[in-house]
Amino acid sequence: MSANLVKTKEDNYTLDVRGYTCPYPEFYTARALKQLSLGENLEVILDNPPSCETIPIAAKKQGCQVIEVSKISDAQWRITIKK
Amino acid sequence: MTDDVEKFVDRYSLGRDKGEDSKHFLRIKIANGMLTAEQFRRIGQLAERYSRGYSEITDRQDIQLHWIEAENALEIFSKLEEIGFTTDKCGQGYPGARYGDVRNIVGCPVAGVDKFELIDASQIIQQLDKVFTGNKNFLDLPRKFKISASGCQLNCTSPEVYDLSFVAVRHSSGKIGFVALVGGTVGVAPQLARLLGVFIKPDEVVDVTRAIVEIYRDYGSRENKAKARFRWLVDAWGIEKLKETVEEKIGKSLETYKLDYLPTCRGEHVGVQPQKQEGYSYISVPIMGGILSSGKMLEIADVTDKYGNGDMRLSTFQNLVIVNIPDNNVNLVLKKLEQIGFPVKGSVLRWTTIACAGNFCGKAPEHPKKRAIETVEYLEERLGETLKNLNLRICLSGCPNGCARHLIADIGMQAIQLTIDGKPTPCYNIYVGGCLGSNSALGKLIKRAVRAEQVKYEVENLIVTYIKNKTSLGSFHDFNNQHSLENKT
Repeated sequence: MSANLVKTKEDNYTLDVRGYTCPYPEFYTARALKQLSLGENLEVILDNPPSCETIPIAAKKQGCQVIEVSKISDAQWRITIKK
Repeated sequence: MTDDVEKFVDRYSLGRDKGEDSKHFLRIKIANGMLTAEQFRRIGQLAERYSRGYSEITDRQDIQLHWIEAENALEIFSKLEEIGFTTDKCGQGYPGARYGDVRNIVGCPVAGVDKFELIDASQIIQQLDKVFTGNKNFLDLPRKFKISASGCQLNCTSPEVYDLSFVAVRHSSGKIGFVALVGGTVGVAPQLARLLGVFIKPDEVVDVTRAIVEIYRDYGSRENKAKARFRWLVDAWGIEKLKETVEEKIGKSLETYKLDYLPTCRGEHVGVQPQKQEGYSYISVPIMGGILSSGKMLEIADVTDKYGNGDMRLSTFQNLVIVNIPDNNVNLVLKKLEQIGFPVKGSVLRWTTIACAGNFCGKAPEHPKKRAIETVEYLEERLGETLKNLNLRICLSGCPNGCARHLIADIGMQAIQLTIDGKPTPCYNIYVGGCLGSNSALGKLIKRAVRAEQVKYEVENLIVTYIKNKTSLGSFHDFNNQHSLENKT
């Protein structure tokens, strides 16, 4: 199991952290954000509900903007963050 | 992306708190509750640094820390790895039936030193712990899975409440082995475990356990989280099908074994007791609510190192046991414990009353542990010596999930939040007569919505009625059946 950061299109990346419980989604998100350049977007796909609260807090601490937290299926969420 | 984080993923995680301003808890698994004073000291140091100096012994022999900041998690995991422990995976936040793991495996806290035990099951528990810890094959169960194994004749681990328990028995041939109990839970859909109907030799326990957990992983419901615990699979399959499938998996038949009794739970190991090892004793120290400050942990560790051989245990009643104390040091240890705030005296209720951490998980309307401590102190003040030999179990849970197992208590309480005069008001539903052993039964609800501050008076009334009317030393359960306590309080 490993969290994969994938470039999906220009200025957009996806990080899949499904299967991870706290605190790993936050860790991987923080690390991914460090790799992005200013202005680039990160979509985090996750299935650990507590991380829907903790990732936005951590992202804001890193100076990023949380664009959206949305439920994409019964047990999956997407958090969109702009660096 | 692979890095140093990955090495912790399958063995360490944080749980989610929603109360007391705590965002995360850390539940440290301590198999059979066995640890050294040095390990206990180092966990105390973790509590001091990361958990506002606060820790809790849980009723599954874990040590739980709160107020853990996610940004410190890797540092903490790294230290825990050095100390030699892992944590629950805590996948309960997931909304579906996935990511369940085998929780800390519990056993009798005085395994190996208890004069009366049939067998020391602690080695088996350590083996089982190795099988399941960090094993990817068992990290995506439908829900959590709880196991106990014990050779204790007190039945102190309460085996009927777990998904799978091994209880030692002496076979008619004289051999010591285990019976297995399956499908117990005391959550929102309580069910006491049932006997599998086989005799299991000590060297078969690991294979049988692995087979049962695989069966649960492969056949347990993943459609509905509420019906995904192992008890539902046992209900659906029945005992015979489960037994046959286990035998198929382990490749041999198990001996059919009908047990017409279960060792009756007589509570916790209490106070100073001589060990099976000549010249040594253990001291069971009551830890009210399981709450310990980091400073006290260090002091207890020092006493254990200085006067014992450094071995300690945690119990399923949230207490602490110092083992292997030379008899001539016992009085010194008792004196030291009293000096640091842990007198080994008082009513048995000090050992047998447990409460959950509902104030942290956010599901309880108030602090169940504080309420439990207040209740015991009040009862001791009011009833004094009368309580001394009364072996009752009082349990306070903060919500219907029943983490403090209120449904198997002599007197069990479950918190609820009511609105009274427009204000949120913590109250408790009171249950009586839950018991384990031969007449296993869940407690009956006898009083609804007692205001939290009135709880101690209600419990006092129940106990006074029990003492006044009982004709023999029958259990609270028998007594309630005969006298219908709801009409007497």
